[in-house]
Order: sequence, then C-alpha cells, then structure tokens
Amino acid sequence: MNPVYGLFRFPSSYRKFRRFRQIVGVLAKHGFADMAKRTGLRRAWLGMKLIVSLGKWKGQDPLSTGERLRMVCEELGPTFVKFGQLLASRADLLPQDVTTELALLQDRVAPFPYEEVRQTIEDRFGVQVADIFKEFDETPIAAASIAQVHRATLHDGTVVAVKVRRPNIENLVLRDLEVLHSLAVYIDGQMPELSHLHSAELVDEFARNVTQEMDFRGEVRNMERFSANFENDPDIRIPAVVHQFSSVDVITMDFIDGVKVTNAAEIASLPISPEQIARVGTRVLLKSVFEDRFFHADPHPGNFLVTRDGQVCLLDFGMMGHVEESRMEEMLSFMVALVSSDSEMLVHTILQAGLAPEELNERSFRRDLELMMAQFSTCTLEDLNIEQLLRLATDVIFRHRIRLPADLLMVGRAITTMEGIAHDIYPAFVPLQAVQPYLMSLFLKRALDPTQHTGLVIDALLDWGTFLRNLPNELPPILKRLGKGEFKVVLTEKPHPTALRESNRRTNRLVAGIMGVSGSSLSIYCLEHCTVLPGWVSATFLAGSVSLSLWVVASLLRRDGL
Amino acid sequence: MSYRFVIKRIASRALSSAVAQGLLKLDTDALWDRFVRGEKLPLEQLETLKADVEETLRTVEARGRQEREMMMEALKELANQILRGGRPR
Repeated sequence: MNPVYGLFRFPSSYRKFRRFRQIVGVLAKHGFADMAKRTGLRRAWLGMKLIVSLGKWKGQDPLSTGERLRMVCEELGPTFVKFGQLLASRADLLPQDVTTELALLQDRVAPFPYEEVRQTIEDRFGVQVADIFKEFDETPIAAASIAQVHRATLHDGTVVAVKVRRPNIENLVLRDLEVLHSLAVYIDGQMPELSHLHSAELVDEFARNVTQEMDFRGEVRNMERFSANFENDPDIRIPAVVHQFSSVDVITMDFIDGVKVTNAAEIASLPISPEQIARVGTRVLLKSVFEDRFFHADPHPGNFLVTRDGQVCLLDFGMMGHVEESRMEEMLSFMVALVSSDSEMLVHTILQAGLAPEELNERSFRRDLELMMAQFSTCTLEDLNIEQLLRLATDVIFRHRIRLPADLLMVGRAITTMEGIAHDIYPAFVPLQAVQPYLMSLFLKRALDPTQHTGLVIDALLDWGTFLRNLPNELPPILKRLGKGEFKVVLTEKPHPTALRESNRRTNRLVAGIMGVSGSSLSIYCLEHCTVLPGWVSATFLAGSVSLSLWVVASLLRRDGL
Repeated sequence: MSYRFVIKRIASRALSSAVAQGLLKLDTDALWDRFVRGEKLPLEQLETLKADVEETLRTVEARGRQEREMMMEALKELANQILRGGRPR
C-alpha cells in the first residue's frame, strides 16, 4: 500500500501527511529525488512541495551519498538524527562511506526554556520546584534531543543532577516513527534494490530503543543494574538515583564533579594516569559485554567522566545493549576469530550467526575473508586495531549481503568506540593487548565449563525421546497413504512483490487497451448509425477511447518498447 | 511438557557434575601447555585461567552432586531391571 494513503487512516493524519511531505521534500532537496518520486507523492495533490524541492537540487552535487544522507537526518530533526546514528552501526547493510558519514551525526540541540522545565517538575511531583530543591540552576549543563540536565541542590544539601525530558517529545517522536514505519514498509515492498535492508525491521528495532530511552523509569533501572554489576569495583562510579524525585520524565541523581576524559590538561592533575583510565574503560566494557551481558551501548567520550578522586564515572544509561545467552557463544567466537585472525572460525561463526542470503556464494565469501585475514597474518598487535579489523570484516559481509544480528553489531560499535576513546586518552595504549588475552581466556573458560554443553546434549536426547515416542503414532498413516498411492507433496511458491506488481500492471494495460479499442469501435458505430444518442456524446466517447488507446501505446513504448 | 524442563535441569546438572568430576581427575598439564604454545597466552594469564577453570569445575561438580548421585542410582536400578528382565529381587 502506498504510505501516503496509509497516513489517512489515523486521526492525526493531516499532521502526519504534512510531516511525510516535508520528509519527501528534504529527500528531494538533497538529491534523493528518485526515492522521493517513487513514494507516490509525485501524483498526490500536495506534491508541489516535491516539485519546489526538486528545483533546489542541482543534480551535480559534489557531496557523497553519505554526506547527503547525514544532511537529510540533520534537517529532519532529533528522531532522524537518532535513526541515522543507528544506521551508522549497520556496516553489514550500508556501504562504508555512508556509515562513516552517519557516525558524525551529533545529538545536540538548543536547550528548552526553564519555564518548561519547572512546569514538567511541578506537574510530575505536584509541588513547587522550591519545595524539592533548595537551589536550581536555570541554565542546563547539557542538552540533547530527548532531555536536558540541570544542576540543583536538595534541601538536605545534596548536590544533584536533574534530567528533564523535553515536553511533547514523545508525541513528536511517535509521529515520526509512524511516518518512518510507513516509508520502511514501502521501501521493503516496492524497492527491490533496497530489500536487503529489511527497513521495517530496522525501524521497529529503532522504535523499541527510542521509546525505551524516552521512559526514564527504564533508565533508572538500567543505572541500578549496571551499578550492581560493578558494586565491588573501586575504579568505577555510577551516580546514585534519588528515587523520591525521579519518574517517567524526570531523573534526579548524584551530581558527579568530574573531568571529561577528553580534557587531557585537567586529567594530568588527577590521581589516575591516562593509561589507567584507558585500561579501566576497556575492562568495564569487556566485563559488561561478555560477563554481565548488559552494556552501555553509547560509550562516547561525553558519557565518561573522571572524578577528583580518580574514579571513572559513566553517565547516560538510556541506551543499553543486552546480549542473549544463546548469542553469547557466537559473539565470543566472532570476536576471538577476529582478534586471532582465524578465518575458518570467522566464516563458520558468521554463517551460523548471520542471516546468509539464499544466493550466497560460500566459496567466494570464504576466499574474501581469507584474503582479508591474510593481510594481518604478519602484523603484531601494535600494528592492529579492532576498528580496522571489524571494518574490513563487515565490508566483506556487506558485499556478500549477509545480515548480522543487531546485538553483535552493537557490541562491535561499543568496542570500537571504547577503543577510540582509549587511544585518544593514551595513544600508546594497544587495546588488542588487553582485549585478545581477555577474550581468549573467556572463550577457553566457557569451552571447559561443562554446563555450557550439557544443556544442548540433554535437549537433543529429549528431542530424540519425543520423536521416538511419537513415531509409532505418526508413521503408520504415512506408510498407509504411501501404500495406497495417495501420498501427495504440495509445493507452493509465493510470488515476488515486484513480479506481482508488474503482472498487475500488464493486466491493467491489457484491459485498458481492450476498453479503448472496443470503446472506439462502439463510438464510430454510434456516430454512423445511432439516432438515439446526440452526435457530441458519441464524439466525446470516441475521443476518450482514443485517448485511452494512445495512453496504452505510450505506456508500452515508454516501459517495454514494441 | 513442563516436566521436560524439570528433567532437563536435573539431567544437565547431573551430567555437568559428572563431566566436571572426570575433568578434575584428568592430568591436564599437557593440555594447558598446548594452549600456551597455540594461543600465545601469557604465562601469568594462563595460571589465572587454570585456577578459574578448576574453580568452575569444582563448583559445577559440587552443585550437581546430588542430582548426579540420584541419576546414577536411577541408571543402576534401570540396568538391574533390564538384566533381570523385570523380575523382582
């Protein structure tokens, strides 16, 4: 179904339609005219926006596809910036130049007025701001697309950070998500060249993440779970939540007086060296991913602080990654294969974990990965980095159209971001020197843990038991039918959407052609012999029929030729 | 089908415990030496790993000991029944 028409099904359809039109306009403005045209707006009565936008597109823009896509996201606002950031992690689906460019998207927006902050807090807790806080700094410390943070002091003297959600952001994001979903469904069904993206699945995954991020109660739970995982680690600090003044759109937590990890000058004055910070950061990430299976999915430098007493503090727990236990082995095997340049293991793991397309040429895929790995066979750990290894591996995966699980890519992105931060803090730090032995140890530990394997053995035995128990009941009817020659095998083939559309189009053309020719014949007959109908009626009918026939011929010439 | 999960839990624990018991009795030094050579693990790290693995095996063995003994009893009883053709003792 055309998304434009789908929009009219909702009560707020006009607002959504306007947004949709804006999106199409921005796409056209930045050179994605073909995509914009194919959404169907070209034929819609409000398509003027598209025509105006197309006029702004010069057609010879020196900017790359990635740059233009980034500009589209920036122009369309916070939801699209966040969606762009998610796409940046999908190196298995998008070309390298596009993901690199999308990774530059910054979640920074102008702060909203203090009046709205005050209103949100008072509406939520039913008391005045002054009743909760002794002092409240009206200028925010940080502002992002979903919320902004203010410094305040409670009446007991505790200095806190108050994170307040943007008013109405939920409605805006939900509206954008609906429009994005409509577009994604359309792309999946109508653009076969982009069908490998499984856009609707991507949008659904994004919708899940972003709606979770907007509910601050989830973030509070994340903070507490993460904090519990590191409660015995003296190097880590997670802000404590003040539950009394936290809710769905406000979080009140300890204010951490710290230094940003990127501030090298101030870091030098702290009782922890840059090398230690890099090591602690890497250790935290590895433990949270591979042991706790619950990790910070957005570990950019802004979310790391170093406290005055030398602890590393993590902030912003809105976006967290979870690794399912069943995925753990694949995840670990993938990373171990990568960091130990084991191409055979890598091929096996990718084929097991990824969704390989039916047309995959396994031999060629294997050869490409082996060639990639061969480049590193003589390198030392100092010459290698995880980002480079992952980039090259996902490049091969992308070329062979293999789709990787989102959590695997999320882990990859978290590790490479951490690697980048560690390198910036302490350039001499070789992350692989810390990562490789850790992964190897964990891998061997799991391999030698009997509990990791016995469950599978017991499952297989129980499955065989069920199969053998049911066999006496299920086999005789089949044998009976075989004996009588009544056994049937039914094969059904689902038509491809493009083929179905093309078939419908051909049928429509055929019907229109028949109607045109028969209408013309009938009109000529009426003009000559019919005395009941006035001549102008037959002439108009004839003109209509001839036009219909000409349209069919033009359509045939334009699309298929004769 | 919920009994399947109960059986799975008991059987997994019992089997894990039996495997762990077997591995603890094995002389694994040669195996660890191979890891040192093959996987380039630093010696210090290898010692930690060895200790961790032994600790895990001991925990697994102890955790499933009761189930293991119960399963062994059940298997022995089953074997006896089969050998005696179902006749009472």
